[in-house]
Amino acid sequence: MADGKTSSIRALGSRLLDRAEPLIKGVIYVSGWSSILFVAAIFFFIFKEAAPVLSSVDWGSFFFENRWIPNPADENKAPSYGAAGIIYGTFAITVVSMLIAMPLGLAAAVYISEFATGKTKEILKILVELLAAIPSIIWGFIGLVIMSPIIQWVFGVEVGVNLFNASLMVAFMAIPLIVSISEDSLRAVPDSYREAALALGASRWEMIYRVLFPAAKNGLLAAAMLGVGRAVGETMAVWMASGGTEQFGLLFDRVKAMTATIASEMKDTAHGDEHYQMLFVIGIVLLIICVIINVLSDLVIKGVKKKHS
Amino acid sequence: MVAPNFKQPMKEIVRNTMIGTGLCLVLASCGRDSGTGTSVTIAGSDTMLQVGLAWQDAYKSVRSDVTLSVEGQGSSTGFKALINGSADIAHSSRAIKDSEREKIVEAHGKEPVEHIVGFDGIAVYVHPDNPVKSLTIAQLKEIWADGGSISNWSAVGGPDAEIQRMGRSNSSGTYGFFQKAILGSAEFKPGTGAANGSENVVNFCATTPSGIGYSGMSYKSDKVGWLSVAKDESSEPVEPSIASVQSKEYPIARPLYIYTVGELDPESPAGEYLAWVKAEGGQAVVSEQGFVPFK
Repeated sequence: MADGKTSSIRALGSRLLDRAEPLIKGVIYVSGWSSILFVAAIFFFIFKEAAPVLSSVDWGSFFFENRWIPNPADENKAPSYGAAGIIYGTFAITVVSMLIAMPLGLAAAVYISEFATGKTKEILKILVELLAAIPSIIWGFIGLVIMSPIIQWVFGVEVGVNLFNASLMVAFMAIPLIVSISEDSLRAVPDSYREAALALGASRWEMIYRVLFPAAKNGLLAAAMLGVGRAVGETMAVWMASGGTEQFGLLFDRVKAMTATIASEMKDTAHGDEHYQMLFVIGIVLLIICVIINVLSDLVIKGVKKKHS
Repeated sequence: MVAPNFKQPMKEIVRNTMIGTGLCLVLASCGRDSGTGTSVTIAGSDTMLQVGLAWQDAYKSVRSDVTLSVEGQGSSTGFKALINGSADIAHSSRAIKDSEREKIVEAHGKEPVEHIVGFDGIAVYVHPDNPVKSLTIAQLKEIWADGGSISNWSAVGGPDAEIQRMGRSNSSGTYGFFQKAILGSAEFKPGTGAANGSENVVNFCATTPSGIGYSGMSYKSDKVGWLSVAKDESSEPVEPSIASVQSKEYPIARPLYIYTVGELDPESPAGEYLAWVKAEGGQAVVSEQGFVPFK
């Protein structure tokens, strides 16, 4: 009696599931496509917001003049949108942060993948992932409150919030990304490569430098490019630690990034006026840079897969 | 043999982060319910945010049944909120623009009404160890304005160090007011910083020996110094203080405004609140917060 009841419930359940299957399939299908939809929507909306001003932007001034004055004090003067200073800022922070992050990240990946064993390896991997989880505003605080006086004291410079400080914070944020991808690509090199190198009398350093690096080249490149993507898009930490000044600053001068400009000016602009649209133009430039970097790193990673399979 | 193993998740995290960033841009503006019943919604100037929050706090003991919601993201946002009806009261650190006035009339059929509820002195902050203690308006202009001749502290009796200027973002009310008061129709000198909020301007001056910055008087602390300002070479430099702002001796001061759409019904929660702000209780809060009462 009880048995019969259970089996009939089971039968009903499976019949229901059969009925629901197309629906479930549909939901999964839509979720799969939704990310593509989101990307398309982002492009659409960002271009839509910037569209009215796109045809009248003076691109020469935008890319080569450092004069960002959206609200001139003299109302009879035309606003000026020369973004060279902030484009330089983004570029400089990216370059300096990668100069710091690449060697450190690569060295850490080599250590984790080739030298560390057992518990050390596990703990290090967990710590690297923890580092990746720290929100960027926390890095901003660290830059502003802790690093700034340290930089002033160590380097004897006047201003503690500068290109170096911002780059350092971005480097710390990019390092976990670089470490985990580099480590993956080093691990992907077959052990037979290592054994062959060591059997031929290579030292461990020679094995890493002459055999592993060339074999993992594409993965390491991809790690580097994703690190660059992180640096270009970083906003909050850069805003707080860079000193927010649009100028062609050197290592210990204040600079300003494109992301920080959007973040600081967006809230006070009237929705739909020219200044607002120009901030979206900066957004488009950033978006295009990020897409190029992402596509390049994707292609590079695909290259790696082909080589080993 | 280790199989080639590429962590897809990491790539996805990166991609999702970028998507997230984009979404934030897209979702930048969202509306809010307008204040009804016993709640009053206030939006506007970030300079007035701290006094607004103090009013909110003090008003609890006056009318515990009225809920005040106070936001301070910039004067322009207050007028925007009045236009779209999402706020009853707008705080502003500058007078309303004609374009904003027109939009309010267009949306509500009523003129905006201006109430002066206090004064804010803009102080020029420097590092506490800076030997320069006073400057004239003309000297300040040479320091801050595009094409100005002073770029080293030695030119005004200080040490031989390049002056590091830190201001606010070009759409902040404080930026506009300082520009109008000191630079006239000139632009800021290239290389002038834009800090993330008044607090960070003061923090910059407190930690940078050659720094100079402008912000509301209420941000003064022991860790930072400020300058006395003289109208011209023949007049005495005046230190920013409540008395000197009220007497209009201190030259860089501005009114704090509250704007409403038409005159508020004195019986309504918002009307009662506004009357309280302009009376003794609200004005006591104004001076507690380092601003200057309007009378």
